[in-house]
Amino acid sequence: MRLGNLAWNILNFILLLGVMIVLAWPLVGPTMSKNKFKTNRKSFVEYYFDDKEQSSTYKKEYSSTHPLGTDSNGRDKMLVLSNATIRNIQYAFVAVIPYLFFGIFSGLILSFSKGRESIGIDRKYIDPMKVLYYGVDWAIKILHSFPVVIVILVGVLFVEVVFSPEMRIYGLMFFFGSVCVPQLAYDIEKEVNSLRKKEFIKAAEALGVTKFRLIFVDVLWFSCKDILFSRSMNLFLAAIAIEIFKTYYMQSSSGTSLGTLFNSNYWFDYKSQAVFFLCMVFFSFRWFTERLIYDDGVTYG
Amino acid sequence: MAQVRFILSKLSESLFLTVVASFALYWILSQIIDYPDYSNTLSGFFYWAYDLFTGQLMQYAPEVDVLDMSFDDDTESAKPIEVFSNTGDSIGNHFFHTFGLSITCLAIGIMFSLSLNVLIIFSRGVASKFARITEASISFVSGIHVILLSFFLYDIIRYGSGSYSTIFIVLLVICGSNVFYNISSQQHITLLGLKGADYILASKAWGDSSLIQMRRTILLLILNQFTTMLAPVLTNTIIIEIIFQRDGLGSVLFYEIFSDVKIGGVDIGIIIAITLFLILLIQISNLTRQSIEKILLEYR
Repeated sequence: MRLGNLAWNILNFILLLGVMIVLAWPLVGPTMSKNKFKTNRKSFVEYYFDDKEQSSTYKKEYSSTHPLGTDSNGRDKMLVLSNATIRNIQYAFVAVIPYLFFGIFSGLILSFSKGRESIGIDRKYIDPMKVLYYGVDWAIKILHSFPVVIVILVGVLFVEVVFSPEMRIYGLMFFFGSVCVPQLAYDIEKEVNSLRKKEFIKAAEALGVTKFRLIFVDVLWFSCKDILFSRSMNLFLAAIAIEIFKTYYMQSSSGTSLGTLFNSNYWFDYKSQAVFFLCMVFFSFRWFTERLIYDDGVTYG
Repeated sequence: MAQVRFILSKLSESLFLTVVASFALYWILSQIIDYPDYSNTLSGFFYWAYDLFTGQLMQYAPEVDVLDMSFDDDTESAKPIEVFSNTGDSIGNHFFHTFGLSITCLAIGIMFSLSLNVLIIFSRGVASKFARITEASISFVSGIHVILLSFFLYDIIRYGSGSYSTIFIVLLVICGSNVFYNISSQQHITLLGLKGADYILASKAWGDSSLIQMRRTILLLILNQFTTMLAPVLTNTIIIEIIFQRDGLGSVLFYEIFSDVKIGGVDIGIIIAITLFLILLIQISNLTRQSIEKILLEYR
């Protein structure tokens, strides 16, 4: 069993290393030298895709300068894959940031505002913390009742109407991250409720530890770290998948992303590489998150 | 009496939540997309819901057949959005199609995972090893999002009409987006706990059947998984219906949102109606779980 775990770790490490090499290709790859002479372009990706001279060449097989070969327009596949992935990572972070912010905020409100005695506030006035608690509680319940697929589709509709073409994918990611908070909020609430009974929390309170330290260090970092990491990684990977889904059906006007590679124009050239690379991303990122959370061996499956 | 009171209170909360969530969606969508037949208020929403359930709600953007140049009355008149009909083209029929596929896939997934975990935990030898490898492999694939899995198998399923494409679809629904992994890991932990539980060991010592002692825990586990995993499985099913253009709510949503064939823009009435049914289904499944758990835990 230990040998199996070791083999599993080595395999995932190699996958992660492969992903890192692909991501770093624009910096370390030999094709980078061409870009140094054309600094008037907005970005390397735009330069590369507009390069007429480059696109007039034909498809090539694997070589030392093009490890994955070139596509029908003569573009280095590894570079295209790398830039598309970096773009997708940007989009996914736009989903993860509001998810963490709203999720932690809602989780803490649900955990610490319920049943709180209103010291110093007259009974005839409304306790603002309780009002906040009920407001957040109902908002979370309402968001939780929507199936994820409806959230995605309504998000697509919403951004198509409200946002400019360049901002649509960012809007969709922000919307997706913001609407997916209920599970994180409920997980944090559950963890805090279990911590209330733990002796070290009571001891810390008795020793006069500040509330800020208790909430942000003891509760959020030491106890909820695994929840935050695993949930964020799930959302991160889901955001990548949603970008592919959205771009496949509604062509985004922004630069080339992984979703574009699934488009019929690119699919013929990039099919096997894109599929294999995405599998590498999914497996290695999940493994990395698990290694970050757990230190008692592989727990996948 | 306490159980009835509990169920009634939960039922009223579920219905209230369904109304509030549907109205929230109605309000947001009618703010951004033109929907002139109904006002953008609570009363407008209730008129809309009344018309939906009485069969008087009309499609806002009717399909126009561009090849038909006869301009008959039939082609220009708006069709009602039917909740149920015998023709099979109603929201209710599509809903039951999606719901049926989801429930079937969920049942297959739970039973398959349970059999694998029983073999892993309670048996030894080749069968246990085989079950362990199968479970680990499916859990491994389960880590990939259903959208990506669907795109990977697109060419096989899209143009395939044989039974293997149906098997692939069932596998996709069960595996995608961590569904199988969640089901299996929860079952593994519960069964492992049961194996070492004092009362199971005692029943073995008395010569009693362990299965009889386990049935309440396993029943509660299955019930819990059926109701909690319904929403993710439903999501997987709808995504697969969208990608592979299968009959069901997914194809209706695809037609409304993504299709190039549709003329006249998005009909938000259909989207809100589908959402209303889905929210109601999820609320009812949660209510069923809470009620049955309460009854089973108090029943002796």
